[in-house]
Amino acid sequence: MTTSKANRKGRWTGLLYISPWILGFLVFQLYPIFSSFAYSFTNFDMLSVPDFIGAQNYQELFTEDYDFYNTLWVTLAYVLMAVPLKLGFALAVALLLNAKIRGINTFRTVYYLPSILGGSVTVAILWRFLFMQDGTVNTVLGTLGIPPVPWLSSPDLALFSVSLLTVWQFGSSMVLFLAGLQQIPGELYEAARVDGASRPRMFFRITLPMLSPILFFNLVMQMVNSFQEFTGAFVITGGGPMKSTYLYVMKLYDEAFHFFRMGYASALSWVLFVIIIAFTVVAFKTSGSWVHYSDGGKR
Amino acid sequence: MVTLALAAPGLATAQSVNLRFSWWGGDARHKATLEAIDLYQKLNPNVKIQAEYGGADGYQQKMKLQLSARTAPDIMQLDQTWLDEITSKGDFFVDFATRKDFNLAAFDPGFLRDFCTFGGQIIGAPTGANGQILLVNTSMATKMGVNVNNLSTWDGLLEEGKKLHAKDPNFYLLSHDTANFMGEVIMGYVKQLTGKAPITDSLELTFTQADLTKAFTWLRAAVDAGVIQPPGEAALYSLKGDQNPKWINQQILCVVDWASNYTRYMIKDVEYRLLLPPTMKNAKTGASTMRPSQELSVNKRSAHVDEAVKFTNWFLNDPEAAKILGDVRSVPVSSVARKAASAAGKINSMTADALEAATASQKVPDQAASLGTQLIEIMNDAAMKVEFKMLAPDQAAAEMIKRTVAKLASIKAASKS
Repeated sequence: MTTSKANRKGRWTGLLYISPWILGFLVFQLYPIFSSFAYSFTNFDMLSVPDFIGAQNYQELFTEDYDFYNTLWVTLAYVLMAVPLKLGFALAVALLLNAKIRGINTFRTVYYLPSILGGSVTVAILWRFLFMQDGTVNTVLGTLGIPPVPWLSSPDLALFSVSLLTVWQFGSSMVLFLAGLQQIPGELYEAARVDGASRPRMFFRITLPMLSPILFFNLVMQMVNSFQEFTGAFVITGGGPMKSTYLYVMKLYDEAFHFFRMGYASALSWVLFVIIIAFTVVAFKTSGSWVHYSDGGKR
Repeated sequence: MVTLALAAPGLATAQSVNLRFSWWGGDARHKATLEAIDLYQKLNPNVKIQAEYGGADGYQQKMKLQLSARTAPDIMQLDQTWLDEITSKGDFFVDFATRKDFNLAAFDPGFLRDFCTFGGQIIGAPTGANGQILLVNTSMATKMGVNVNNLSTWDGLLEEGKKLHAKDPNFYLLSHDTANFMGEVIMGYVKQLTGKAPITDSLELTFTQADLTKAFTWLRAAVDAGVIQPPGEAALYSLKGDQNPKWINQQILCVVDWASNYTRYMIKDVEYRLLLPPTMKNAKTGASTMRPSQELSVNKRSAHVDEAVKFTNWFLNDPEAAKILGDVRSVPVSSVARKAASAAGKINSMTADALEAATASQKVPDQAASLGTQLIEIMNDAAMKVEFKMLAPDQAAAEMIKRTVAKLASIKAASKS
């Protein structure tokens, strides 16, 4: 067999091996993506044949929808609260778990467990019982003489309480930070100690810069996930009180499956896509000034 | 030879039929319905009915999705409020009025006209009659000095609730289960002022801002006086008022709900009374909202429409079925089923008495469109703003009317196109 024939055969063999994935991608991802874009220009309600209505859905969204801007601000507030808190906790715990002490692997497993439980409905229900008026948290506070806090019943506190569920699941970010910490050459810290650097100075001048690529990755991933948060708010508060936890994807869900305005929901999903892309682009554009790669190159 | 004998006319066996029947409910309803299905299958050995049942959560979405995907069951238990929305999008259900094999004569014609007819077709057969009731924990009411006889009016409810909460701030008179409470308090109050359904068939409002302001004013007064639990706390138990720790601990004494649901609130060794929801002096309509508990519809796309209709007719009209089902879907609307279930002692006397009182004091029925999910959402939004003191009652009324009129206009425009 000539080389080009062998190459062609190899190429077809490779394609054959990945064909199940390609098929799945085309059917379950690409097709729905293009379909939803098409539906966003229709009045599709799932029960009848859709009619083309042009940009009416987008116009209604930006100019007439009573809840649209509220859900945007709530979602933005959620992202600005949950992402820094989660990354902060993840980094703090990773620093602690980077110690070389007996039983450290057990500690690492324990701190990772919440992430395995994931954003499941069960955990969200548990969260509600923890934070409701007569819940465990208020009971503990009561023993310290602190009056009950309206964690889930106050419009000012409910979003924070819901975001704590996301923060609690910091395990996956923590594991990445831990891996990054273990890659930092020890000589850098030795040299810094010789020069008389304090621990905070070493953290800000060595640890953070060396971790910045992982920090950037975690920031982008957590931001993208947070914009799409649904389960926690849906199960814990149902979007209340006073729609103070009514996240964007909850509105999308209501429009699609409560009111059966699938065309309108599709328009909402594309607006969310553009918003996430915009934030991601901003993150990438600004990364040049604070993300340091070990080979000195920009990405 | 054997084969030929089997193929001879008159010796053919009935065609094997598989039906899917879907419903929601609690354990009592599931058990009774499964027993009824077993009986039907014994009487009709060629028919196999696959039961698809569960809780109420998510059921509406599941049914609508299945209808849109053309995978809906043959027989579906549906809610009256969904039928108008669904039928406006297409022709999904069998019209029982065209079926000679369905005994519509057993049902009150007015009931069928008001609640089961959509687009001129009777597409839902009512399972039971339901009415809103006020369930009162009389054991605790007596202990706390609440005058139960003063709970029949809106003013009386306010007065007793204020006294109760002043006596012990941990106590509230009325449960704030959002789903029933808002509809009953806001639109129920308005109906008693106007004597009309809030929205006409031509999608016009029948109430004014002044009417709505009065309803919101009562609501604000109830919040301020501690008659109802603070909305933020109560919202966590929306549609699950029986799971509210305050109800379980008997710190909430009354709840407005449908007659078919009240048993789930009852706590062992506690005495209760069923009253009518509150009314007002010179009310222009009755105290209780009546409607079907649920409706059974037959899928027009079913492969076995005849058998599905036959089963539905048997399920709702057969005396033996009625003896099994009793009042798991409230008191049967079918006179045949009601008589059989009563004679067999299968109808709870408290439920029957409450429904009788509710029927005698019915509110004017809602026009189907006013029960649409988006309009209910608008009402709940406005009411929440009153409860959280973000808007004054008149401001909330103005906002609700503005948004409702806009939504009705868009519904009208969508139905024309």
